Amino acid sequence: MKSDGILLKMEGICKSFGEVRALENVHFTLSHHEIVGLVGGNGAGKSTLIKILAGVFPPDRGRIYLEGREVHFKSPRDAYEQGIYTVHQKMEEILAPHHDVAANIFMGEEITKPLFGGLLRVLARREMEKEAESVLSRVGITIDSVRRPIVSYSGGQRQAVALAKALRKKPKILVLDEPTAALGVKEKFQVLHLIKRLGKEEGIPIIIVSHNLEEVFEIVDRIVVLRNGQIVGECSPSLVTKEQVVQMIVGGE
Amino acid sequence: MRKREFLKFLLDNSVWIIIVVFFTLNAFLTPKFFTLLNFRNILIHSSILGIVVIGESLCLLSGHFDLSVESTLALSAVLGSMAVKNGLSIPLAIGIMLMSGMLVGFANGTLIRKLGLNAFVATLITYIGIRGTALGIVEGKTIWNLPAAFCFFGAGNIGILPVQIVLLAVLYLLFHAVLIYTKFGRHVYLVGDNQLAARISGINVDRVVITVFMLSGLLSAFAGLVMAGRLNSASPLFGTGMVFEAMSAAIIGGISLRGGIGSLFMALGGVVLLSSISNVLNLHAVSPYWIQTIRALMILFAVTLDSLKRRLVRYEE
Ligand SMILES: Nc1ncnc2c1ncn2[C@@H]1O[C@H](COP(=O)(O)OP(=O)(O)OP(=O)(O)O)[C@@H](O)[C@H]1O
Ligand SMILES: [Mg+2]
Repeated sequence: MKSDGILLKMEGICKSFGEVRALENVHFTLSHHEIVGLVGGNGAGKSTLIKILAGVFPPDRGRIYLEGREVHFKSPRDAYEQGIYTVHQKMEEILAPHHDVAANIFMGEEITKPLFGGLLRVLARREMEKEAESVLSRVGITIDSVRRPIVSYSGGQRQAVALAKALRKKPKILVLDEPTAALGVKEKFQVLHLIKRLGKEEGIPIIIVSHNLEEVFEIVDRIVVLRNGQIVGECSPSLVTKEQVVQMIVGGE
Repeated sequence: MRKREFLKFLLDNSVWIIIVVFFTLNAFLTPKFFTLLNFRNILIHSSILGIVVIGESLCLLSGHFDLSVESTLALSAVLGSMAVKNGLSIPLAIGIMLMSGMLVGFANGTLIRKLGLNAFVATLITYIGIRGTALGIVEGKTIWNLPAAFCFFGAGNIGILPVQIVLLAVLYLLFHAVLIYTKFGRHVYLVGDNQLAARISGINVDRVVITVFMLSGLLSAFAGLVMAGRLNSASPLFGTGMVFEAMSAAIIGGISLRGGIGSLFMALGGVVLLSSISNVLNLHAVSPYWIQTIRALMILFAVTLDSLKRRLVRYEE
């Protein structure tokens, strides 16, 4: 939390949807090698903050600094190019249902190969399928075929595909909005293990949104609590109890 | 599992299978049907609609309607014919026609993406407005007697093959390859499948949609050139009602109205099937008025097959 190690700083972020004030003057920071857990009740504004960071929409007010330089994300592409890779909460917003797993993992980032001596470029299907398989195995996901359309998979498998999509390249910042919500016990364990490995061993800074305080306490370095669009508390999991965090989430003394 | 895959193969290729059955039956039932000359007629009859269907299919695959195709066709024919009648060179006239198509497409794409209009509404505006413009320019009159060179695309021959058939083949191969093998083609499908996901994954949705509409306009304008050549005239009423035929062909070919599903090769099947049906009705001297009823039944059949296909691949929902 020292200012010198700060990688990302979001300052005075405000966002309203018509009458609804989703975020009010939010200050948020992330340091190098840090895993931050973002918690809060339903509608607290967690996903909104994450969408702003991912360039899905701009904030009404506020600034974002990456490594000390101000950035303006006009589209998700801009955030992606800065190395901010996000897995959003809603699968139906991030996967193409009638495309296969490989096409989804490479969506927007398709690999092409030259044809007729570089005159044309065509999709390199084989290469993408192979790489998709290797990303999936790296992430520790077993899927029978990368050629089946997303609709034919279960909710948990879709979430795994979304995670693999974000982890195809090494992120500068990995942002996960409820990445374990649809997973079974075993898969949840695997994904948490993976997140810990990425954060602790590979040193990738991670922002994770979760309603499950067990897992938050297990993996994060710092907890940030949002309530009604405002940050109402920050703490280290080693210094507080779950009950205290619950108290912050629900509010009242 | 094997059975399921076989069934899926049948459903995926249903139009062409129906065409084979239809041709086999009519070889016996319809005199003069199973002849080279008649096949040639069917293909020539398919060409103009077929070219328009490529553009319409691109739009549908990206998840958008394009109602304006037939008006663009008429405007292009009228503009090009006016140009040659006024002494402009033929390449210049053709350039003007193709530009007019791309402009209409650009207007459609911009209305949808930058003004946020629904594709149906945006192209309804151009559908009416462009037809009106075509009518207005020539005050409703038809232009007759065009130069032979101008009519090449609609009435010429390359060796023994009519240019129209060659064009149909070349354009389908070209656009099929673009859709299947290029990044742009993949993005058209992805935008149609899930526009939000495409955007979040960094695809420039505006650019994809505007390009798709410009290609649709370009192809419709080109179809206008072919039609003017075939009929050696240009009428502002060219292609009236063709948008419904184009959509029918695409749907019969299995292109989903919700976007992202289907292939151009199947859409071509839809075109050929529609042409063959009207050809057979013609050979039997059935009143052409019945074609609409038959087309409606075909569409009903096609969407039933489509929902069956969806159920086959679906895991949940
Ligand atoms: N696109 C939108 N249009 C209108 N209102 C929105 C939109 N997105 C979010 N909101 C509103 O903003 C508020 C914050 O929503 P947000 O999705 O950020 O909550 P959250 O903390 O992620 O909740 P959850 O735990 O349920 O995912 C809610 O009141 C929600 O209704
Ligand atoms: Mg949320």
